[in-house]
Formats: sequence, structure tokens, C-alpha cells
Amino acid sequence: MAVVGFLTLLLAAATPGDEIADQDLLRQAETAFHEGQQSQGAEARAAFARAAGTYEELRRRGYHNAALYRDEGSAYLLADDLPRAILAYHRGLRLRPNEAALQADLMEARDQVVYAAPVRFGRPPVRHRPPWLPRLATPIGLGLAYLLYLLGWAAVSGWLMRRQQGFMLAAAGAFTVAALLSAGFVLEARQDRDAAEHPLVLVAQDGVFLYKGNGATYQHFDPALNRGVEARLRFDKGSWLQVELADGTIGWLRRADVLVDTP
Amino acid sequence: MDAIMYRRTGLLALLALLGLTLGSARVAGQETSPDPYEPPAANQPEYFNGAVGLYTVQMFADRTQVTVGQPIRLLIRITGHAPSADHLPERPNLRRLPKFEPRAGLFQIEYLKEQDRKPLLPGARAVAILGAAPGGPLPVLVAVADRPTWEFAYRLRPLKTYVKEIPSWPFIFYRPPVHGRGMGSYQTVYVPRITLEVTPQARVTAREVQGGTADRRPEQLYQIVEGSAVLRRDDLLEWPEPGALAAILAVCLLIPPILAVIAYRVWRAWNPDAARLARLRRSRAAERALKALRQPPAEEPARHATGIVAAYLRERLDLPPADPTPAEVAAHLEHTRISPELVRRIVGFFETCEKACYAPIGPPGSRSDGWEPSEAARDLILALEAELWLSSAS
Repeated sequence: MAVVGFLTLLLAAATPGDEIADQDLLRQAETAFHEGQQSQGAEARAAFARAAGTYEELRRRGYHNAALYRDEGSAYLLADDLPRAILAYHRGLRLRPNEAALQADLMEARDQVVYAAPVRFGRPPVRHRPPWLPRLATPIGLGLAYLLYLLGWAAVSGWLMRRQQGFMLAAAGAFTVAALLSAGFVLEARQDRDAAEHPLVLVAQDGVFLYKGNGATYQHFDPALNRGVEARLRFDKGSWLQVELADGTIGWLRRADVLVDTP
Repeated sequence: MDAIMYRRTGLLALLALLGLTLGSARVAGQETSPDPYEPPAANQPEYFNGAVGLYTVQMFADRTQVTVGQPIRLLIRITGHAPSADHLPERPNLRRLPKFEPRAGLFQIEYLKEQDRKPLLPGARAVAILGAAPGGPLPVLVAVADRPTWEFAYRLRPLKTYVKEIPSWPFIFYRPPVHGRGMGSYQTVYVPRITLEVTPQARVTAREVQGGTADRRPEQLYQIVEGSAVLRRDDLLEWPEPGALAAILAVCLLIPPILAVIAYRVWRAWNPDAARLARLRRSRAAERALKALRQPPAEEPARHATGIVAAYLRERLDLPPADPTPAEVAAHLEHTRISPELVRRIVGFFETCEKACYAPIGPPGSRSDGWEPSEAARDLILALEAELWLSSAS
């Protein structure tokens, strides 16, 4: 009996318990989502909220991929939790900047945000990158730039041997494209680093005021911000956070009124 | 008889004079004693209410916490003494005031004229029911009018969430002189503001609208990724430390030029003849050209020299094989590394030869000005060779 018990314990230790639990969790999330699709009104929102919570639990267990964040974002958005939906979409786009579905979902979520004033105050940043210009994954893009750099020097070598103008033109062209690609990646790397140093902050309630100091006795900006407004964290001072809006306005928000993108 | 007539005439004249005097005095009296309760037109304030007397003003709101667009019942109570029935307080025209006017976009104002009370006589008990708050008791405003009181009702809707108050506003009336003597004056009483808290309107989704259609979300939101694709751990690319990154970059950037130089040297070492032939091919062209120029020409000297120089340029600088015109030579040489001065000399040579070919002057091989095409061609070729060798050596 002791031997059987010992073998049972060994078997239990060898079985990957967490992996099975994660699969079950995923099934629960998918089931809840489908329930939401079949229901209406408050029932549907409750089901979507359960699904979103389950996806969030998977994220806390260390799963990070664009598909998970997209599913989580959709569940939150259908549950009318706008700030968490926007947060999930941003996390997904960080991993897959080119994902068209994530970009479209984020735009849909941003359209739900109520901006109290017609000016730029509180509105999300405007992207100047043309939508038709694809964003290469960093390793692929850097590899392509280096390959062009190599080809450029190969052309220089050919010119040294043959002294023909065509080689020189080919070298100039290759170096130019490589330089442009590299400059683009350097810029994006700086933006990514900046985004990592200043996490995303989302207003979680309606009618939240952005104060000019870290206290309610300070003056505040008008109009108030509604849920879903995006900002970047500049400084954390306990119950007050200094943030910067997309239009450059800097102010303070109560921690209780916002969501902060933490890893 | 005459005396009586004179007395009657005199009496009549005296009466007429008396009448005139009294009339003048009366008219004069009217000019020197104006109505003390008439507000003067001079320096009349812009927002003068029209009231004459002495007044106090109060303002009441039935609620101070509202959402955008929610109505607030506002009551303005004017209490005072009106000495003249011709100049009683009028309804304050809030829409004329700067902070209330429609173009400010802060409030929408309706005048509830049917709810006005004017005036309450002294001693009357004034009761104003302002309106019930949801779930609360019916608020009642009670006052005993010891002086006449006028009440004017309004419905106010704040239009922006950043409206913080019903602003203070001026009530301007004319205070007449005391006991009708002396000078009256326009006086301003500022009605205290009422603090408001205006919140955004509650959002109503399509699903909550009675009789409305179901929530119209884009179809893509209802499509999720299922299966093991969701259970992955994709990591972001992590950049190395700046020092290590700089070292890696330096190595990566230096390797290709080093390889290019090595490849060239290896090629020269493995193909010495090819390298030498490449050099020789170019200098052999010069030798052949110079040798041909030393031969006596079988044709027109200018044409002979032009042909030799053109052949040399084909071998040395890839000039197109057709008989080039001076313009074609110039166009081709512009894209080479030949100096502009030398290009001009070459083009000038071709132009001069072209003119010489078609100018019937003297026997073949001579010109009246002593210009020899062969010598010019030889000088040109040597100058070109020197320049090309110099540039390849540098």
C-alpha cells in the first residue's frame, strides 16, 4: 500500500496540473463568450464580463499574445467596460503592430469614448504613419536593412574590379534604402522605449477632472474627462498620478479613477 | 361815454395781462418741477430693469445637482417699495445678460410666465412650491411679505458639464429722491450666485431603448480566436544594453567594407592578368590611337583624326559606336569623371573637325591658320590619358 501511495504521489507530481487548468480556463472563457452571443441585455453583458475576467486570469498566468488580447478586448467591449477593452487592444498591438483586426477594434472602442469638448483635449494621439505602409517586425526589418548594406558593399567591390558606373549607382541605392530603413527602426525603437517608460493610463470613470496639482484643492482643467480617455504616466506619487495627454497637457489624476497598464 | 370806454378797455387789458402772466407762471412752474419718480434718460445703465424704488432680490433653485440638459426651476423674488405704480419691477430679462445669453452656450432659459406672482400685498403669506426632488419631501418656500413682493419663475437647463454655477447678475433700479427732493440715483444689487454640479448625461445604449433594435456592434467583435493559439507566450524584442549595442553595431558595420577590400585584393591576386589587362586595355587604346595618328591619313585629315579620337573614346570611355556629333560627345562625357575643361577641349576638337570637313580650304592636311588635326588629336589623347591615370591612381 505504501508503494502504491508513493507511486500515486509520483504520478501526481509528474502530471502538469497548471497546463490542464489553463486549458479549462480557456474553455470557460470561450463558453462564457458564446453564452453572451446567445443572450441579450444585461445577461449578455454579464456573460461577456465573465469571459473577459477569465481571459485576464490567463494573462496573469503569463500568457501574452495578440489573439488573447484581442479576445479579451472584445469581451470587455461587449461588456461595456470601455477602459479595459482599450487597454487590452493596446497590449495586443504592442506585440503585433500590424494586426489590422486589432487596429479596427481599437478604433471601434475609441469611437465609444465621450469627449466633452470639440477640441483636442483628451483625444487619442493622431498617427501620421500612412495606413497602407506596413510595419515590418523588428528582426525582419533590421535583417533586410543589413542585407541591403551588404549588397551595397558588394557593389562597391564590383566597382573596384570593373570600374563601371552601374556598380556605383547600385551601391548608392542600396546604402540609401538601408539607411532609411534603419532610421525608421531607430525612431520606432525610441517610441517603444518611451512607451515602456511611460505606461498607458486610462480614465476609468466618467466626469474625472485633471488637476493642475496632486490634490483636489488645486484648480482643474475643463472639461472633465470621461472613461476611455488615454494618457501616459509620467510620475507616480501614491494616490495621485501625473499624466500627459496626447495633446501635451500635463496634469494629475487620482489613482482610484484610472487604470494603469502594469505588466 | 369816452371815459367808460377807456375804463373798460383798460380793465380788459389788465385781465389779459394777468391771464398771460398766470399762464406763463404755470408753464414755468412745470419746467422747474419734474416728476421725481421718472428715471432720467441720461446715463441710464444698459441693464436697467425699469423699476423705481428700493428693492432687494433673491434667487432660488429647486436643485443644484443635475445632469447636462436637466431642467432647474429658478425663482427670482424681488421685494421692495414701489412709490410709483408706473415703474414697477419687470421680469429680469436673463437672456440679455452676458453669462446667460444664448450665444454663450451655457444655459437654455425659458420664462414661465404663467407661474409669476406679482405683486403680493403687505401682510400676505407667500408660498412658493419649487418642486420635489426624487424621493424627497416637497420643498416649500414660505415668506411673509411685509413689503410688496414680485416672483418670476424660469426653467434653466445647463448645457455643458463645465457649468459650475448659476452666475451672479446685476439688478439695477432707480432710487428716487427722498420725499421728492434732491437727486435720485441708479443703484445696482448683485444677486448671489448658486453653485451647481453638472454631470454628463447617462449613456443610453441601443439595447436599453424601449422598442429599439438590438445593439449594433461590428460583427468582428463577436469573432474570437479559439484554441491553443490563445495559449502562447510571445515576448517583446528586448534591446541589449547601449554599450553592448554599440559594440555589436560597430562590428556589423565594419565587416562588409573589410570584406569588400579583401575580395578586391583577392581578385587582383587570383587574376593578375585580368587586372593588368583591364589597365592595359585602357592604355593600349591610347597606344593604338597615337600610332594611327602618326600614319599619313588616307582621307580628309580632320575626318581621319575625328575617327581615331572617337575610336579611342569608345574603348576608353564607352562612347556609343555610331559616329558621334559634338553634341553627343558632350552629352556622353558629362557623365564621366573627365574635368569640364577637358570636356570642352574634346567637344571643341570635334566641332572644329566638323567645320574643317565641310570647309573647302586649301590642300588636304593643311589649314590657312596652321591648325593640324593630328596634333590636336594627339594632345587631346595624352591629356585625357594623364587625367584618367591620375584619377584612377587617386
